[in-house]
Amino acid sequence: MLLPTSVDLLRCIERTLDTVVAPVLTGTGERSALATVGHLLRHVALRIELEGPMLVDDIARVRPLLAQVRAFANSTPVKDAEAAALTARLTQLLAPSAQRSGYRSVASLAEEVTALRQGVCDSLAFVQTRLSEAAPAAKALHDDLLRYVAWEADQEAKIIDPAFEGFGPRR
Amino acid sequence: MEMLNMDMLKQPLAAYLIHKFGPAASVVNVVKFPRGSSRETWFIEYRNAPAARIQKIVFRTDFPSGSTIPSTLEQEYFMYERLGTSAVPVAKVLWWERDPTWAARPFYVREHIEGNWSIPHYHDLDPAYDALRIEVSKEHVRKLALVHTVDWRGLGLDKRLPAPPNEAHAASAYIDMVADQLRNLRGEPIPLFVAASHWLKAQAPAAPRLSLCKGTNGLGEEVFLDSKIVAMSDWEEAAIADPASDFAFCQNLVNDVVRDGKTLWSLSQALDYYHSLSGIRVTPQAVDFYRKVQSFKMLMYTQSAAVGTHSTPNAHIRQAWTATEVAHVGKRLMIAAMGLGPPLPSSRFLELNRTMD
Repeated sequence: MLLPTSVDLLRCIERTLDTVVAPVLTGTGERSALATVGHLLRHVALRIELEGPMLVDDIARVRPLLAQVRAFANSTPVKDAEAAALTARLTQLLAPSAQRSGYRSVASLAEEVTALRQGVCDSLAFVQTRLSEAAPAAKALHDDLLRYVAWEADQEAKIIDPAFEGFGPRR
Repeated sequence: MEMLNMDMLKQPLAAYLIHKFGPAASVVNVVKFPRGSSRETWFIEYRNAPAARIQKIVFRTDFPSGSTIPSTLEQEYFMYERLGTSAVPVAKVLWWERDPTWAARPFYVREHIEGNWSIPHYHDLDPAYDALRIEVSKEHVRKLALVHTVDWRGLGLDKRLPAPPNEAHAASAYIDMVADQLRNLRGEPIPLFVAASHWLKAQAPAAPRLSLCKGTNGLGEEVFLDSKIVAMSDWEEAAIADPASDFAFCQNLVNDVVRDGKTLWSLSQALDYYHSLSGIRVTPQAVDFYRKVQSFKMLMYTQSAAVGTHSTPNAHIRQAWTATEVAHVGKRLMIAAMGLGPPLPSSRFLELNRTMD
């Protein structure tokens, strides 16, 4: 079964709730809950269409960034235990995995993005401790990490703004 | 009477009221407070006997998936109980219920205070209501001064609320407290949170003093009667902190009042008035700093909502919304504050806060 699509069905459900159920509701709590349901249905429809590609894009963007951090951490003195620990963690994180080939579910992609974002958190915490040394490489890397943070929010806006903005009370 | 499912009770409310108030007790009305995203609030009307006067009480409990705010319900009860012995206007707590015969999850009951969270005409931009807006703002400032001068050590509040080591470290201690709360959620990693924590600490101001602070306050949080605050509600975000934080976390009650290009009331004037009452000098710069901390907090509590929604299908629909749109708006606010992205248009906030009531 290809038609109707999941998104078709969600839109049909949303429309039915809006035209059949909402007009007969009188309690504030019920009307509030239904308003929120409508917003979330539109959000889910967007996630069905966009979440997979967004996670793939996220992985493609963050892996080279973490490789940069690993190179930076690896270039610090040998006795720097914190740098060594981060290098080891990032090496493990960036290692090729069988799970990353072939068809991948959204859950599998999300699992990888979660692990990579933990790597970004660890990287930020590490690079922040190097900024006081006025090292331009640390500053450049920190800026790159911040750019990723801002980009991630821009990506997320694609599944939030069109679902909520202009569609009335949220609750 | 609204037929609502009070699922914090294992048995019908009528049976519970008989258990508490005797065999002639009966339910008159039950209303679930439609606002509020942190916990459930229920207004109960009952009679002790068929011809007896109607009594009103308030039940407060976590959502089935927990609270959006990481402090415990028991801490909130503690705050009410302790503040009940101070000059701060709060509803008297009546009892804590955890008896597994009755409670599906713990709840507490407090007295009902006559009043309303909204103030008639407060948002009416007619010049006739400028004086009302200013007077209500002053009333709120008076109550904040009362809260901030509470002897928190004397009340033993620091037994439950972490106290910063000193005024100089008030802001960094607050940020660490929020970071601990996020860590305890065991949710997803948030790189922005790590970046923002570092950025905020780099500009943290010293506090003029360490005070009991309410957390989110102002319109929607307090009970008003005839434009006076008769009860300050929902102490789940209470902290020992910089008083500036409460001005930053205040909802709609320290707004500018401008008429024909003339500023009739402003944050600066509110802070001067506050200083005259409390002796505490809070600067607009410190308030601005804590407004950024507010965005930082949003990252944590929206993640709390995400974890709650993920943990059970019984999560409240409002938590799911908090975990999605509100979480995203929090990120955009933080990113804008850090200069990494454009500011959100004010129309977005107006939309976000529109409700069905």
